[in-house]
Formats: sequence, structure tokens, C-alpha cells
Amino acid sequence: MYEDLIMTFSPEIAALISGIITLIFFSLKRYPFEIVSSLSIALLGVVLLFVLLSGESGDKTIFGLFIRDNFSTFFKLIFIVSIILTFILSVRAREIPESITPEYSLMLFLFFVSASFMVMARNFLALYVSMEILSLISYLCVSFDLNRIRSQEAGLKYAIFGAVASALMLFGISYLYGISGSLDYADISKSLLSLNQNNEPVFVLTLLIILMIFGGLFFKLAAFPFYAWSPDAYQGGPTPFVALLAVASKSAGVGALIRVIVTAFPLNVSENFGSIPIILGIVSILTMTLGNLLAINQNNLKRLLAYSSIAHAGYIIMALSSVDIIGIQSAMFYLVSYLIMNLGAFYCVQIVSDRTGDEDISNFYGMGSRNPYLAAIFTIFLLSLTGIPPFFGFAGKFYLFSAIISKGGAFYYSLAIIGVLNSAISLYYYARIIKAMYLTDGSEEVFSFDVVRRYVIGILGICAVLFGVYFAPVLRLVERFSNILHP
Amino acid sequence: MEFIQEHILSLMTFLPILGMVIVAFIPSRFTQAIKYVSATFSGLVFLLSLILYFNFQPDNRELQFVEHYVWIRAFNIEYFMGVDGLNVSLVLLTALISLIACIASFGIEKKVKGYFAMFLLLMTGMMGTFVALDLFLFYIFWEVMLLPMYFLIGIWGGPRKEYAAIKFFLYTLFGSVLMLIGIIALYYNSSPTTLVDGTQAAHTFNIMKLTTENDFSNVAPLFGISFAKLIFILFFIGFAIKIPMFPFHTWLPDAHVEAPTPISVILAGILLKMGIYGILRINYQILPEATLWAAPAVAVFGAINIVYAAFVCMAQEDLKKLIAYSSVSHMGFSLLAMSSFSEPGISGAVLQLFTHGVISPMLFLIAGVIYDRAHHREINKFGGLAHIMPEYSAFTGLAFMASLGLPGLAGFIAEALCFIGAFSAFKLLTAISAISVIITAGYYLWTMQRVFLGPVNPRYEGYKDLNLRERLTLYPLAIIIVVLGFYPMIILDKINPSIFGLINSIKTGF
Repeated sequence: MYEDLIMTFSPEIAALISGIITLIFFSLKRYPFEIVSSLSIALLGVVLLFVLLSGESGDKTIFGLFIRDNFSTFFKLIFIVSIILTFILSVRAREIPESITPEYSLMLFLFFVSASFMVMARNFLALYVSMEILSLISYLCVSFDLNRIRSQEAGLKYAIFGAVASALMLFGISYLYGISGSLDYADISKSLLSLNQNNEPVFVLTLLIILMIFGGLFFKLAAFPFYAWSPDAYQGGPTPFVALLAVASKSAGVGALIRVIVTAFPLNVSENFGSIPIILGIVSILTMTLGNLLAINQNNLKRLLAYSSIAHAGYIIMALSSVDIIGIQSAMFYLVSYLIMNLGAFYCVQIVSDRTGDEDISNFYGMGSRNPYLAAIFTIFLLSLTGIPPFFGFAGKFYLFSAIISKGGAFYYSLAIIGVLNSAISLYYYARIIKAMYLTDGSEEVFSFDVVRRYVIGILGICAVLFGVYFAPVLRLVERFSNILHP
Repeated sequence: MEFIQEHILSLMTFLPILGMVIVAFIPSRFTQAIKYVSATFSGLVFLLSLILYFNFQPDNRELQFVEHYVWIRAFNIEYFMGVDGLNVSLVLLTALISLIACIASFGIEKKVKGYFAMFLLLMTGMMGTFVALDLFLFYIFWEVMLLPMYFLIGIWGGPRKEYAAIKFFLYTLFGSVLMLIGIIALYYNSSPTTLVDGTQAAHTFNIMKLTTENDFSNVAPLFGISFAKLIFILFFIGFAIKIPMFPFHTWLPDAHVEAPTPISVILAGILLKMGIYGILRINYQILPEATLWAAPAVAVFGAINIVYAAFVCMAQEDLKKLIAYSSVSHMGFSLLAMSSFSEPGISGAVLQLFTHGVISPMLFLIAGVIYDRAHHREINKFGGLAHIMPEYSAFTGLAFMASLGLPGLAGFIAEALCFIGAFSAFKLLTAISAISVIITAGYYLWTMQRVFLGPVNPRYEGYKDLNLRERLTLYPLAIIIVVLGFYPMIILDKINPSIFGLINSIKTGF
């Protein structure tokens, strides 16, 4: 039993131990952040090894609370890659004081642990607890910078929104326990099926429960109606962590949402109530439209990326509204492309803001001649985020829209049309940055930055182009990891 | 040699990318080297296009020079290129105009390296769009053109370049995302088939397979109209923006006025042709019934384009804007003629693409010549240029006459065919449109009079006549215009067999 337990949870245990090691080791003696982050990355490499190894042992359910399957492995890989990139980005970052580096790296390890538990949860209480831990880490990290009032404000706003969303979710879970007598996804699915669906009170109650539980998950995704925290949190928080928040935290939310939709409220339930695709569809329309429209006039690039990441959550939810395997695979595929292009974009913003002290768009004026390399790669990420071929983001969007259109019917076609029009709107604000870099004259001074970041954005940029032209490997990866075990 | 024969389309499409890579490695200060490398690659592509054109067998209705491989199996996406009568002349046109525009670009002085890198990328996008026969591949090339165009207008353009560039980008993207939905919808409603390597595929992006093996009349209607009609509309909007068709034409005058001369040449000579080509290739071939249903509306829009834009031309003060609107008007001829489904109509529409594709670049080059000297293009401020620049004035006269449809020059044959074809189906519309030819003659002759005739404006006295670069670009176009005017069969012989086949397939519904 314990062997099983250790084998199954080995990545999380390894991450926890690594976090404690770094905390103790670096608290005893101060080392520069380069060393902290190199050691952390090496330890994450070990965690990665455990993720791959534990995948060998097949699917396992532990305590009836968590399930380790291929699906969760996929998300763990996303978390590890984005945390490694965050560590690299955190080195000499303006907003991360040297004094708190041990705590910071512990937080990132804990981030991995809680996020993995979140995508492994097969019980609502387990989901709730892991989500809360993830949120707590996020509140803390956003308000890490004690010298900046914005950072403090952002953390507080984030926490208030989080508290409301999680309270709502907990309320929904308690109702769910009331009607089904269980918190296990599989049991809930069974008891929902056995309910008399023609009974109106039951119908209303189930709808309410679904809305409340989705509310909590939408908070993690930064989707409507709980999106308003993200612009402030993104702008106020330290950029490297914000990048992680935008990519990994959102992925964790997507992973948990997919598992809930597939196993707790399976398709036949949603068909009976006819509600889940419609709820997701409406939420996705509101999310992407709001995100895109609000992004148009932002001059602070972190804030702009915050709104744009709201819009991207909208696209993903749109694909999930198909509630079938193509929808799930396309969402997972999109997360991979989103990881590359969004982290890349945050890298570019951080590289410039570390020098200039803020993220205003004017810092990018004339970047096309000040540093052609940075400008070209940032342009690739921005076009990829817009969804223009031949970049990776296009392949992702293409897949998302395929998922919707393959379902057919007026509802899905309307969704798809609203979706593509949104993606055309998004060009406007992404192109504003491109315009600032190439079309607006700025200072002539050459802009240079350190070699590590240069390599990282180079690699991310190559991935954004390469996987745009030939995305078959990513398709295969996603297909391999997309089968969710039905308990 | 055999390799070239077999891969000629890939070579023509991707040679410019190779050129771009080479340009990227040349240090920026060697501007001459960059220019010559780019010209060499454009020249190579043109050479290949000549080989292609003269080896193209018109009697054979089959696709030729086909390259067909599986690209992304999970989505049944194929790398599929080929030429038939519909695109063979456009491939030649693309290579020709690219070369001319490349020579015209030798006058660029600002950020030469970036300019030519973008120029070569644009070439790849254009060539790929014309030869791709897989919808996914087609879409990729279609979108690849946007970015270089955005930069070419936005960085090297005139005073309002930023506005013009983003307007172009947004308009085209709005159209093409709707097209994307059409592409995916066609894919998921296509019947099972086999890929080129023999494996089974549940759906396909292959335009030819979608044409011959699929009939979309059985698909459930959406939003109360039939599936095929809805998809027709989605594609049509995408293409109409590119043509540009009234009321989507407003991006064109801005883009043309702000773009540097060689880019205006490319825009008018090649990009506008993609709209009509796309409609013929995708809407006409894949959705014949919906095409029949939409034809009257398309014809009306075509007539509006012709008449409305001709009147707008009368009011223009800016020479380049005038030429831009005249392009809108001339693309209307193609739209009107192709909705008649008559043999002369569609032949005329495709021939019009080619003839307008050589005449309008010449007009823009002419506008560029005078702008380089006077730094403005206001028609009313010139006068008596014929005395100062006789050679230039002669070319302008030729181009204006060709554009207004003077017999003996290229424009006449195409327009005559268009009207003959259109008249069989839409008598009133054709009559109204034909009257606009008088307006066209009016604005050209009036412009001619204001710019070249009358008393010599002393401000312009010292102006030199054409230089070598300008001659290199204007002479070939002038010769082609005259030769085509007398012997249009050079083009018609190659395109007609395929077009007659296309018409038959629409009329029989398949």
C-alpha cells in the first residue's frame, strides 16, 4: 500500500522535498539567485523524471481521492516546463527581491504540488483543498514585493475575489453532497443520472450546483464572471510569477474543469439537462469578447496580456463546450501552444521592463532597430497569439474551431463565428505592440540583454514557428495523453 | 533538369524564402548586394514560370506539375500543388510582376535589408496561394502574405502609413477568419476518401476531391439557409474583401496611396487577383449550386463596382487614388462577367485578371515616376509635362489607353469578352456597366489633359525623363500590353480548355 502510494505520488513528494531542501539550504547562507534557480531547475529535472517514471506504473487511484492517469501526467509536464521557464525568468528580475528567494522557490515547488493534486483530484473535497492551496500560493506570490503598493493591492484584490469564488464553490459542493451523498466524481455522476430529471426543482438545483462549481473553476481560468482580478494581479504581481499564473494556473483550471465535465457531470447528464454546453458556450462568448474589447486600449503590456489571457481562456472554454474528445484534445493542444507563446511574450515584456522599470508600451518604441532579434521574436509570439499562420497559435486555434465546427448545428456555428471575429479583433491590440516596435520611432540606443534569456526566447520562438508548420508531434502527444480514465 | 521539372512549383514558391535567408545574412551596409540577390531570386522565379507556362499542355484538362504529399496525417492535411488553366496565367503574372516590382524597388533607400526580406516573403505567400490545392495549405499561404504586406506599407509607406497598414491587415483578417470557418466546415462535411499515399481518410481538405467527390446539398441547413449557401457566403466575404468588392473596398485606396510604388504594383497586379481566383477555384468549383444561386447578386455587386468606382475616379485629385479606384472598377468587370457562366464571360474574367495585372502595375509605376520627381501626386498641380518628359508621356498615354479599353491594346479584348459574356445573362446590368466605359475614358483623358497638356508649368522644367530603372520596368509591360492586344491567344489558348470544363461542371451541377 505505502509503496503504491509513494510510487504514485513520487513527483509530488519529490517536489515537496526539493522545496524544503532549497528553503533550508538557502536560508542558512545567502546565495545569488542564479545559484538558487539553477539548483531548483536541477531538482525540477528530478521531479520530471519521477513524473515520467510514475507514468510507467499505470493508472492508480489513491484513497479514492486522487487518480494518477495519463491525463494528469500531461498537465504535470506543462507545469514543470512552465515552472522551469519561470525560474529562468526570475533570475535578476526587478520585482523579485533577493531577500525572499528561498521562500520564492519553495512557493514554486508548492505550486507544482498543489496544481498536480488539482488535476488528479477525483473527489470534490480534494479538488477544493488543492485549489485553495494553489490560490494561497498565488495570493502570496502576487504580493511578494513588499516595496510596491501595487503589488500589495493586487494580492488583496486577488484574495478577495478568490474567497468569494471558493466560497461559492464550496456551497455548490455542499448541495451536491446533499443530493448525492458523496463527493466522489463517479458516485455523483451515478446519482445525478438516477435523479428524476423531469422534476423542476431538481433541475434548477442541479443547474445551480453546476454554476457554482464552475464558478470556482472559472476563477482559476480567469473567465467570466470571475475575471476581474486578473488585470490587477497581473499588473501588480512580479512578472515571472504572473507568467506562471497565466499559463500553469490556467492549465490547472482547465485540467480540473475537463475532469469534472467528463467524469462528474458526464455527457449523458448534460444532455438530460441540456445545460453544460450552453453554459460553457455563453461563458466563453462573454469571456473572450470582454477580454478582447478591454485589451484594446491598454498601454501597460502586462495588463494587456492579462486581458488577452482572459480572451484565450474564452477560446479554450469555447472548445470545451463541445464536451467531446476533440474538444478536450484541442484544449490540451491549445495549452501547449499557449504555454510557448504566452510565456515567450511575458519573457519579452520582462526583458524590457527589467531595464526600464515599467511595462508601458512606449518602452518598445523603435525596438525593431534597437534590438532586431528581440523585436522579431516578440512579433512571432504576438502573431502566434493572434492566431496567424504559420505559427503555433494558429494550429491551436484551428484545432479549437475544428472541435466546435465538427459538432455542427446553429449553436456551434454561431459560437465559431463569434470566436473567429474575436480573434480578428485581437489582432488590433497585438498589432499595436508590433507597430510600437517597428513603425514608431523611439530612442536610437541599442538595447541588449543577457545571453540566457536570449537563448530561451530563441528556443521558444523556434518552437512557435516549427510547431506551427509541423504540429503532428504535438497532436500525437495530445492524443496519447487525452484519455481520461472513467472511474 | 528532371528535378526542376518535377518540383517546379515548390521551387517557385520557396526560392524566395531561400533568398530571404541569404538576404538576412548579408550585413545591412551592403545594400547593393541585397538588391541584386533579391533581383536574382525574382529573376529565377520568373524564368521557372516561363518554363512552366510554355510546357503547360492546354488540351489536357488534368492538373499538371502536380506535387502531392501527405503533410499532417492526423488532420488529413496534404501538401498539394498543381496548375491548370485557371491558375497557370496567374502564376506567370505573379512571377512577372514580382520581378518588375523588385526592379522598381531598387530605388528604396531606407532599411533596405528589411524591405527585401519582407518582399521575398511576400512573393512566397503570393505564389503559394495561387498553386496550393489543399484548403489548409491555401489558407496558410493566404495569411502569410498579410504580415509582409503590413510591414511593407507600414514602414516604407507615405504619411498615413500606419493607419493604412493596420486597416489592410484588419480588413483582410476579418475576411479570412470567416473563410477559416468555411474551410473547417467543408472538411467536416466531406465524405471519406483516400490520401495520396493510399491511406484512408475520413475527411479531406483536397480542393479537387471536394469538387469531384462531394455534394454538399445533403448537409443539414444552418440558420435557415442551406449549408452550401452559408459556406459560399463565408468564403465570398473573405474573397470580396480582397478583390475588393463594394462595400468592402475602402481599405484599397488607403493602402494604395500610402504604399511605396513597388508595393502598389504588387497590390494591384497580384493581390487583387486572388479574390477572383479564390472565388473561381473554391466557390465555383466546390459549391456550384450555391454559385448559381448567388450569381445575380454577385453580378449586381460587380456592376456597382464598375459604375460607382468609375464615378469616384472622376472626383479624384490624387493620381494614385485615381488609379486605385480604377482598379476597383476594373475588378468589377471580372465579377460581372464571371457570374454569367458563359464561355466568353469566364474567359474574359480570367483574361481581365491578366491584362489588368499588367496594366495597373504600369499605371502605378507611372504614378511613382512623377512622385519621385515632384514629391506630390496632385493632378491639378501639373501641366504640360509632355514637353518636358516626352518618353514618360508616351508611356502614360499607352497605359491610359490600355486601361480605358482602346482596341489594339490588352485591356480591350478582356473587357469586350467580359461584356459579351455578361450580356447573355444580364442585359440591363451589362448595358449600365458598358456606359461606364465612357466615364472611364472621361477621367483618363481629363487626367491626361491636366497633367501632360496645356502650358508648361515652370516648376517642373528641369525634370529628367525616364532613367534606366524606370525604363526596365515600363518597357516590358508596354510590350506585353501591345502584344496581348493583338494576339490574346497567348493567354486564352492556355486557359480556355479548363474554363470550359469548369462551366460545364457548374451547369450540370457537379
